[in-house]
Amino acid sequence: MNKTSSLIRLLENLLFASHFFILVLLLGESLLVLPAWFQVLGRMHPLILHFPIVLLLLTGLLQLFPNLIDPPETHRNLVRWLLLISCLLTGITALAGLILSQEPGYGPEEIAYHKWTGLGVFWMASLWYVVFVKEKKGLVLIPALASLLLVTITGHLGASITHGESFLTEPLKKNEPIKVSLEEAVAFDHVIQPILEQKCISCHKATKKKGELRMDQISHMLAGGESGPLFDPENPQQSLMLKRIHLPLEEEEHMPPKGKIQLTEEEKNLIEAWIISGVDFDKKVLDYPEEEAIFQLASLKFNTEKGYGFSAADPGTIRKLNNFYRRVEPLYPGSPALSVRFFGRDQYQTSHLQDLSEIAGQIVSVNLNQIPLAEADLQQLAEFDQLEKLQMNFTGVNSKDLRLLQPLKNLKSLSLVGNTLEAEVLELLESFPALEKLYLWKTGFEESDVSALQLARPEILIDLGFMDEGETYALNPPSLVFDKPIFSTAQTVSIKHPIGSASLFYTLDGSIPDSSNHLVYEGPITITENTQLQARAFAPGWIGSGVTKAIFLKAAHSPDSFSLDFPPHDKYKGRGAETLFDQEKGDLNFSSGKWLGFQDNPFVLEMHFDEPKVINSVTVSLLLHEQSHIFPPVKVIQWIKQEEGEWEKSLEFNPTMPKNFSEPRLDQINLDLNDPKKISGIKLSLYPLQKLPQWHQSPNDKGWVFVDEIIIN
Amino acid sequence: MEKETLEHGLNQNRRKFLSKLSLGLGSVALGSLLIPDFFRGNGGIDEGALMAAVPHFAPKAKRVIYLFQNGAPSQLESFDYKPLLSQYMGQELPASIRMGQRLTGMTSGQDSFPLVGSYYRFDQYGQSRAWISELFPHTAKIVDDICIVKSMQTEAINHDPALTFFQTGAQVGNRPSMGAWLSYGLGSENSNLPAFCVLLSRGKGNGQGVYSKLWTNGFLDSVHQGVQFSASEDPVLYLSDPKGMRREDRRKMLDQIAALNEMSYRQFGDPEIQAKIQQYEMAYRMQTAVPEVTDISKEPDSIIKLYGPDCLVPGTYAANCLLARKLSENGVRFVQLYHQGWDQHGNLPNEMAGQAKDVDQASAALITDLKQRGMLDETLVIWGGEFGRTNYCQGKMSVDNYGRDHHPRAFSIWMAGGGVKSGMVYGETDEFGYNVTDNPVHVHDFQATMLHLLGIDHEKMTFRHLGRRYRLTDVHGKVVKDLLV
Repeated sequence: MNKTSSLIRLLENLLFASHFFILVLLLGESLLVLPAWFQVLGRMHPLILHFPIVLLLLTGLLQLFPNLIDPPETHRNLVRWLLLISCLLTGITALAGLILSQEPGYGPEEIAYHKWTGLGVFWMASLWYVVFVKEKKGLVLIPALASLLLVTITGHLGASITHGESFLTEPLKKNEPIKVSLEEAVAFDHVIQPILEQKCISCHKATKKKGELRMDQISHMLAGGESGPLFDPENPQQSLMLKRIHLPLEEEEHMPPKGKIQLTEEEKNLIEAWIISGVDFDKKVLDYPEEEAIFQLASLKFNTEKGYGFSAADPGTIRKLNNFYRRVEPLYPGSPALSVRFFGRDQYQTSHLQDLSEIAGQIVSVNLNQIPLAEADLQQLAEFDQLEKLQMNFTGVNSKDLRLLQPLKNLKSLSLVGNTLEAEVLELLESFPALEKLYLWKTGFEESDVSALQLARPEILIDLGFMDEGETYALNPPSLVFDKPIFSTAQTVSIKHPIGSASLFYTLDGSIPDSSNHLVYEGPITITENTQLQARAFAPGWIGSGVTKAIFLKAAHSPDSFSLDFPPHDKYKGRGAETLFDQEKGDLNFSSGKWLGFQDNPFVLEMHFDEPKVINSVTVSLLLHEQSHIFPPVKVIQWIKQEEGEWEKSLEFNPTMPKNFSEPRLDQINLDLNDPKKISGIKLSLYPLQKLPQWHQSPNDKGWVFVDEIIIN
Repeated sequence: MEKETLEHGLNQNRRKFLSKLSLGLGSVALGSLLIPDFFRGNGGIDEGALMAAVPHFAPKAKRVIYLFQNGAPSQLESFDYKPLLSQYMGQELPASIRMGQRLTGMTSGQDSFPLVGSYYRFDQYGQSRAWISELFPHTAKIVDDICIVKSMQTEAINHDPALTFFQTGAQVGNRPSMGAWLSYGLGSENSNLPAFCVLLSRGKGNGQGVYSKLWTNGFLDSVHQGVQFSASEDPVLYLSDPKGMRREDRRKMLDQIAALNEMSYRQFGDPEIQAKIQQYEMAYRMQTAVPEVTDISKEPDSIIKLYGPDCLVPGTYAANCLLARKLSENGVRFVQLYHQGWDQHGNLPNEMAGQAKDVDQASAALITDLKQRGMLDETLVIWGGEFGRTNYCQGKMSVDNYGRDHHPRAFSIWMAGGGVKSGMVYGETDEFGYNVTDNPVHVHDFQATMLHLLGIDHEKMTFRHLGRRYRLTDVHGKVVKDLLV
């Protein structure tokens, strides 16, 4: 016990001495010259201060709740020790603080509060110790609580000096958008200054002039600090401020210093662009030339839309309101303004609109196109008092219900397309003060109806849409529906047109149908002979259509076996020789797989009949398209075999070659057998052109022969 | 994919670790706060990058309809009026103009390059006084609603690479198409329809194929792939239930399949399994949404007149334009049309007249229709091919019959709505219509501008794949501000 008490005595004496020392320092502040190692102690202030704070709070806890430690004797000893050490450390901290405050860079006003509350902590804690030792049980709580209160205040004030006053609350307001519109914005006030406010001013201000620099006022910024002026008007690129922010983070002189919140890339770019553009504190963003970086960067920071005066709805609420048939989303990420779209007219119920009452004050755009709307829906819409854009095309709204929208004073754009409206609506529309765009196509209004409204409100853009001005267009040709153009006995053909009211005229004799020469189509046509069918459509208000043409060919016979001597080209081999007798006509697309193409090898086809047949003619169906190198064969040879005989050449000729380019087209070569006889085999050879004619784009290339069908009658 | 399956094992361990961690800390949310990447299953999706790519203002365009004129329509017979070519008809293209431009294999054998002027007359229209050829009378009527860009440039000289370049930003395949990028970046507006739809049609002119690689999702999740609508009775193939199947049965079946898929996902962790579950579900909802959208029987007569009667014939360009409007109206983010048949190496005057007739009225009608519904402001419409055509003749030349080869250095497209200036002609070519002399717009610039209009920074929307980040515009492209409202 003796040993303990002597140590306590020593510490108590030390405490007393420190009181004396602090008083001297306090009174002689400006007169004393302190040695360098004192400064080291001073700079330890931000480190040491944590000990007394923790110890005082702990001691306070034990003082307030004595039952935490048993027995009372131990408790008393513990509190005494803790308190004494706390007091001593508070003293050392205060001492260090006083020394640190002598260093340049700290403003006297801000320091003052911290200094005196800090000293208050020291004195109050010492008083607490005295009262505690004197065992004035009732009184001890007063200095104890006072010490705790003071230490909290001092700590906060100190932190504000180091980190800046708004340090604690800063994260809460980080994402606040710029409140002014681009039109009003001044580059410095609304773009640059907020960055300085966040990242620079906490150290460079009236109360803490680090480097003798203040950035909280323009005059001080222009004056610069101890390293000289911030800006170099002659050579802005070399301005001190730019150098400092662009130095690597490790450099002593990098700003903001390591450990403080750094400038983002975007912020650096903005500051740089602003300095290079001439350090103008009053110039509006829009007054900078468009090609200057400061304009481009700064204008990105603004809403091109107006700023909204209301706050954002809860993201959770927004998420909850989204479903497959209703989409609620901000105009852009971070905007408080919401747009709502509805989908699926079958799913809609009025409650889907009523669900939105929670966000009624944030909705600026609603799209209800195609959704059936009634009175109750419009009542609900009228509550969205921020509504600027409302689309209600083809919703069946009527003139009476639209009156319910009268309270929507912010409405700028209104689409009422496809709803039959009465003239009374026009008065209502005139009463929307902010209206700029009005879409009235298919509402029953014409130019003359809206002229009064347009006169009264010339700023409104009224779109009445496409008016059928009696201009007549040609109908599109009808289409022919049939199974196959090649048939053995009969073929049924239907004529169709997408416009149901069109009259369909047709001919079967190769003449073009017109008003005097036609058959009227009444139902499917049956064709039993080789026929050319031509059809046209006519309808009132339209010009008659072009002609649709189809050729139907009767193929009475087909061979029992057949084979090609040379295979078709690998790219155009269809389904092999089968393709020639599948009764499917090829179209104008040579690569459709319905055509067999021959280039290097001739087309040589042998056909056999098990029972010899009387054959009148053989027709070869061809495709021609000079552009694609597809020509008629240069030579055609036909052999026939009579019942028991050998092959004998029955025909050889050279088809006429085209002289020019033409559209792709179908063609045929007819090979008539002069006197029909019983035949058991036919052989055909078609030779492709070896060299395309000189007028062709590739005169030296080989030509192609394309065959799709062989018809035997 | 293999990588993701492998990573799944790691995810499992991470998840176990996380559950311990969160127990210890008493809150799962805190776990995710401490280690924000922990809940991220799919390695490629960089949500931070995605967020950064969306600037903080409301985008002008919400949707795109791209009227792709496949095969490359001649700018010299449509929007780029060059009277000099008619004056110098038949004379040789000066080397000072050609400047060593490479040739395609189709004209490299040609020993002369005679200039050829347009067979068709040009006139000036609208307040913008833009020159438009007589092949496009309907487009001439809406000239004040569109912005003609005469100074487009591309890098490829043959169809497939050029088309792939336009659609995916690279000449080689396997990168995501524009529509897939938008689906990825902006998501679907209407979750009952795909975000990216594709419609094909074909004219009578010389054609070039289109392949599904043009609407691929590339390395993006397959939910972003373009869905092709066909002209058949079943617009989306195999979407409708077979005869005799009740909708409730379909529902039951899908639930069971989803349960099985979930099991296999838990086992292998392939993210494509999740994509598959989502796609089945969307298909189920599409079964009601698609018939509603594709039904054109309720369109009023004036619309049939506006688009032309062909719009009632499924599979025509006009029908596709009408369908594009309906899809867009129903919240489809990107509708991609292709009209084939614009490759006029020969017989140009004749073929081009047919092609123009196919597309002119319906393209103009689409603009008018969107406008009258109040939709043009938020819909970007683009009309154009993959490159232009040469000012000299390919093959034999006569006044009324000539051909033009591929030309990547200068061609024309037009855009309308969605934040693009209207009634404007942008860029200029030299008197020969061969080189751009003023305000060139490279394909990457065009892509950057399109993304900008949709509210996306083309430099920031990236996707990590095979160890690097990819963008639609690769490492190029700048937004053409002059085109923006």
